[in-house]
Amino acid sequence: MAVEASTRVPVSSDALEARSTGSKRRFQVSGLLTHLALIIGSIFALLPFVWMVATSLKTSDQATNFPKNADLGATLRMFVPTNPQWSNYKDAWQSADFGRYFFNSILVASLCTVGVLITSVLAAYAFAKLDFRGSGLIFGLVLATMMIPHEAAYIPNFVIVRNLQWIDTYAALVIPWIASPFNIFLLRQFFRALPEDIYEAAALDGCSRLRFIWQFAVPLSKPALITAGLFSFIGSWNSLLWPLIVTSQDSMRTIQVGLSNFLNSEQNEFHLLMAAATFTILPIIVIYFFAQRQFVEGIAKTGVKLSSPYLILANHHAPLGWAITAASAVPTPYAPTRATNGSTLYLVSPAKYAGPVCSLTRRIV
Amino acid sequence: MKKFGSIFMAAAMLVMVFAGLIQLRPAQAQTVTANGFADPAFQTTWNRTDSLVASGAVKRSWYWGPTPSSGALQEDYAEAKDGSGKRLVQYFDKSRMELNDPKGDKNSKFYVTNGLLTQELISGRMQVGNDKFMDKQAADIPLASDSDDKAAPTYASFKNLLGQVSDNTGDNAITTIRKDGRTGIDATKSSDALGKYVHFDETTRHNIPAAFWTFLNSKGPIVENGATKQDVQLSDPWNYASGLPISEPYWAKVRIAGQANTDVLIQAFERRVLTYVPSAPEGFKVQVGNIGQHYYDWRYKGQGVPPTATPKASTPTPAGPPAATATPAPTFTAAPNATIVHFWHTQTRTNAAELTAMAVDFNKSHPNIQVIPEYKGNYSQLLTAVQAAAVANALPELTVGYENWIPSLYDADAVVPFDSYLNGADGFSQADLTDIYPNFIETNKYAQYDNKFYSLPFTKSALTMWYNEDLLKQVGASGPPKTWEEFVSISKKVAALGEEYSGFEFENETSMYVAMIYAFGGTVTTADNKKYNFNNAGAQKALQLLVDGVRGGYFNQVEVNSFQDEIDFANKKVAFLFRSSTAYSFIKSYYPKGADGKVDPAYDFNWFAAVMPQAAGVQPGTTLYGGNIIMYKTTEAKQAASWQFVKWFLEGQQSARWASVSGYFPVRKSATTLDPLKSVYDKDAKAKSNLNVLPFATRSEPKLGSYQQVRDIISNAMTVAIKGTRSVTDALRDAESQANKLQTP
Repeated sequence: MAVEASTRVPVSSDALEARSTGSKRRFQVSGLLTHLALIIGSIFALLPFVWMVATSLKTSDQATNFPKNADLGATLRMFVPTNPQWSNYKDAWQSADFGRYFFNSILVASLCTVGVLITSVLAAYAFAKLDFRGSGLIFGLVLATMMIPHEAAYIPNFVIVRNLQWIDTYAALVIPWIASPFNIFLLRQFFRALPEDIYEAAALDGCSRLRFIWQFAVPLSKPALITAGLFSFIGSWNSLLWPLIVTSQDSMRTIQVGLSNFLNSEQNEFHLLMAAATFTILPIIVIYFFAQRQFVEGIAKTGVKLSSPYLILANHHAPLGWAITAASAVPTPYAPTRATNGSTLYLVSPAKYAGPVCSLTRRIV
Repeated sequence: MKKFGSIFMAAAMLVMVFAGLIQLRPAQAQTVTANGFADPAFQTTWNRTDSLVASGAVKRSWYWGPTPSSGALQEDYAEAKDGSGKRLVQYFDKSRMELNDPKGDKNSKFYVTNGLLTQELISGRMQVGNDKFMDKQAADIPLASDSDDKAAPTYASFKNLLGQVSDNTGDNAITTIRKDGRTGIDATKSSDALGKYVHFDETTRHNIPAAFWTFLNSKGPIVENGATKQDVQLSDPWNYASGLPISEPYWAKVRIAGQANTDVLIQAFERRVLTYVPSAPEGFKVQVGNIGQHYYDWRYKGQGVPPTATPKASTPTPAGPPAATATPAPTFTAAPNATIVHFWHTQTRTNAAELTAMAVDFNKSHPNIQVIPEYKGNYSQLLTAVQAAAVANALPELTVGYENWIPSLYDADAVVPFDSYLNGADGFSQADLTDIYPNFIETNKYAQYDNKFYSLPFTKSALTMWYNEDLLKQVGASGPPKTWEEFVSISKKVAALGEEYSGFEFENETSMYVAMIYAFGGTVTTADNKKYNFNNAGAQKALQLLVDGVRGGYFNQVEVNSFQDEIDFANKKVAFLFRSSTAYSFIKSYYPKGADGKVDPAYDFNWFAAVMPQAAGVQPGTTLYGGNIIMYKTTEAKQAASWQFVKWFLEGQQSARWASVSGYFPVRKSATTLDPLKSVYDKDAKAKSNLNVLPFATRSEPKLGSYQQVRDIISNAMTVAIKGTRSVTDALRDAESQANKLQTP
């Protein structure tokens, strides 16, 4: 059995390259080119950030002094503050109640994220897995709401929020944004890729839908959930117009309102604006670094059909055509990484296995 | 398939267990013995809410008190049905139960009433019949604090605060009260959600904040006819126990349970005093004061009556304001019944701070009005907020705004013209009106709406030609150019000084171009102001001038929003700049700084403001910029209060103050002779040169509703023409027809 399985272990691309001796140099050249392209790409992606930090350390006259002609030296000097003005950070921070704004933004963005995840998981699972009348139509309607720009929804939303007497409350900042059609779509695509077999086996063991969502679908979709969570956190963190409309008191204002203080029709104070922007994006960067791997995976996997189920089985409830096996019988690469307490349900993480466990287990029979 | 998971089962069971507990407990409560109740009806009334509290079945504050606090008493009551002139009463910590008619309908909610104690304690008049009173003295008993807190407000403190007020629903309770009855404002209270007015009682005309309204309407388990009922309104109707509000709510800092400086919101109702302590644990934030106890002490023990005949000079009474130890900084006195005026604006940083400071000063001198300036983003964000507020019926009293906002606001029936206030008894005199620059006031008159003033000037500036006099002298020009030919010829000479020099630098910006169109004698809209018309000779000449200048290398076009033109001007490299009159302070801020971050004083040079050149036969003029104040349809009282503020803001002294800090034009001629503006002008001729432009700022940008979008269309036309992808005439013709499509209804 193990032998049979091992022949199906996917071979890494490195190994494949290594096998063909003639392609070694080609690999190096193409690898070099790839890296070069990536490096150039990253430089372009990083430039705005470098400029932001550099500008945040300049004086007001340096901050807006752009080179007139295509002078490379002058252009490069734009990214290096010659006389770093650390006091810009202090000035920017003190120019408004940023401590309060930070607290509000963190609170609001966190609540929005939790809310979005709860509603999106439930809705996405229903659209992905439950067969009910009109599900396609309803899903279509949900998607259609994505076509309505946020700004167009502001007025009706404001009317509702006002009638609920939520003006100047956190409820006004959070509740209208805890449902996200985009995240429902994102998670639905992910859930669709979960083989129905897992649920069937779990159901035979007496697992309800809700418990299945909580114990199986959600852990298996961690990358997608983190992606959805990040999107909604960033979206909430960056929102400006809505907080302006539904709050009047300074104590309820969010971080972007603080930033907008440095912009006005007469003049922009770029050096202070960039100092404030730098400390404003810090939380986002920190969160991103922590969630980076899952975030990339979440984007990459979306809509890609996972070819394998993660199930090995449940002993006395084996569905037709499935083998009964014990954990010890599972070949090493497919070692169970998640077992329900005391039962015989084994899951193989998709990260470790790209081949069809399903056919593997069928062969075992 | 549909089985619930164990978590859900467990949760459901928990809920059932709790529900069972709630069902069980009241049954025990029924067994509380009636010891001490003066009448079975009193016990029934007490049982309804407080038996459950006594048994511990529910956690909430007492409605009456743990037990009766007095025996059965017969008090004078002229209207007693049995003609005895007396009625049976009994005191509890929180009230007095009364039996006015023992033969009445025992099932009536009002068989047992509770006394109008607050009214008596505050007024000092003891009620002995429906219209009969005995004069005593207002009770000097703290009503919402530890009883020995000498600095806390008492019933007597409320004596002069029972007047009616207007509906301020949506605003926050921010007025404070001290023991001596003086009130103030604590702006930090404007963010307490529970302190927001949510109900206005039309009968007594007082506002009730969320904390109390929720409490008065709260539901919970009660006992009725021996059975426990869930989720019933505890006080039915809401004012059964409390009566109607007789004062506004006031914040105070008092000692509660030994904790000094505890914030408490106090409101007097006819029968009770409600207090809200934000720092109290959940469920106990709102409490009913021990008014039954206070009243009993006042009536029967003579407490709370200041010792009248004891002016003992030897014992100094605590002098000065008793709350001196407590009150935080940002407070100032204002009448409690102040009409609140929200003023939405777009000012940031120093301007915003000055505006707030001015509002504070206004509120001080107008104690009946409370103006609250609120930042609402830039003009377009502010407009979105106004539009949303108009739909939701939540308009502020005042906002800033542009002339082109008025048509849509007028259609929405949201705006009020200032005319009746301007011309009213409390309006502007003829002298006032002539003191205001006529060009500032004229643009606020709307020909399409009966020539009425739907706005008044607020932040006024004008498109100005800033010129570097030193550079002009260097190339042999004697002064600012009066004609476009001179302008071009000077520009060419300055550009010839070196590669880094330019005659004129500009951003691709519609307002500037529109000003140039006017200066060339062209138009932007048709005479009837209904359609766009900018494919005409004036507009073409203006654009051609820019195209030729950029192609010829003597003009320089800079990135939009880079302010590079101002920077280069400050670096003495540019002869002309078309910018707002407010650019004065920004240009100065771009003077190059040394390593120490300071500008070398010797660096300064001569640059001034002038009106841009005009084509032959064109009356000199330039575009007037800036926002106006708009007044919205609210209530008569609020509109009148708003007018008071607008009027005050437009007075000479305030105009001078605002102009000196913000750099906007003063609205009045007299303001230029008043400090602090006068000293600004005396100190710097550059700033003062703005006044050369002011009288010429007579033109306004189109007031059409679609103008905001059309601005982008026009600036695109400028871009393609300057790039050379389209000819000037083609670009303008296309842009005009695009613009008119937006304008067709």
